[in-house]
Amino acid sequence: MSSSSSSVAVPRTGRGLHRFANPGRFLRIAAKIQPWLTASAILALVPGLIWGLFFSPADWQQHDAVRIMYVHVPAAWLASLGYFGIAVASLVGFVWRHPLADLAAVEIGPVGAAFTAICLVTGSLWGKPMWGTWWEWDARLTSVLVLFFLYLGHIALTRAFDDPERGYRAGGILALIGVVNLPIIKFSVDWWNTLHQPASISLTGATMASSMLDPLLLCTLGFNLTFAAIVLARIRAAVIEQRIRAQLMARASSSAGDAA
Amino acid sequence: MTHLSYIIPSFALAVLLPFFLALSAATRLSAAKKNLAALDGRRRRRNDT
Repeated sequence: MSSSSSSVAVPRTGRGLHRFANPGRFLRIAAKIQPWLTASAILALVPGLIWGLFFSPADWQQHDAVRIMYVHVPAAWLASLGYFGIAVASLVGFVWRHPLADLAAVEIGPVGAAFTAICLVTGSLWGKPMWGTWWEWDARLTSVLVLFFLYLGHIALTRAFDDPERGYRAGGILALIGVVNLPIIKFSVDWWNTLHQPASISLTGATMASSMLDPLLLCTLGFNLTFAAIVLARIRAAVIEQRIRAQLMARASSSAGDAA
Repeated sequence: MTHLSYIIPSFALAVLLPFFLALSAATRLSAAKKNLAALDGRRRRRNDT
């Protein structure tokens, strides 16, 4: 039978999304991107934090405590964005069996959890002088705490199985179910009466002066780039570790074959 | 500056935690690269003999 008469659909390798599924190609591209990403993160984050801490104006009501915003708000956005990233990577892993998607989902988890912890702790440190309490079980705070537990659940599930593939699938299911929490976090301040203030920045504009908005946006850019640089380095390490495991297993099976 | 006892821990946490995450990722990546290079070297030597 000639190859042209075959009715089997052969995936076109090297096209579309699967072009980046090749771990070797990913490592080559990532190695080139990594230094630029890291340098951009430092160049955005350091001036952003200095601007926010020393040169932005104090708030007439909150005084200097408002400066906590420059770390709290980017961390809060990254907490949600990171989880959304896990959900997208899990979906790609489920649908296309993309070999890097599962690794990405696993490696985003601890970084996202760390940024969620930063959001919760800095929120608490901001809340004490402003609200008079470290913690309040209101909708925004509680839904972010749930997000933190979802991260911990995802980290635990992906590492709970001897077969990593089963861990990826179990973690993926949790990520896809848990993504419903993201709109709850976003709209909690509108849907319920909360102690937490409503959003000051939206797609249509911001309700704060540019002297505060500009350093906030620079800090956000810096933290986003930092997040991306850390995740990229972790995925690179995970790909190489996977390659090492594959080589060791191949060697072990060939040694077992020789012995037999 | 007012509220320093709240501002300093917030900024310290927001800088130190990502810094340690970055450091641990860099260490892990470098160790993985070294292990892979050692494994490749051993395989090459075995193939040569």
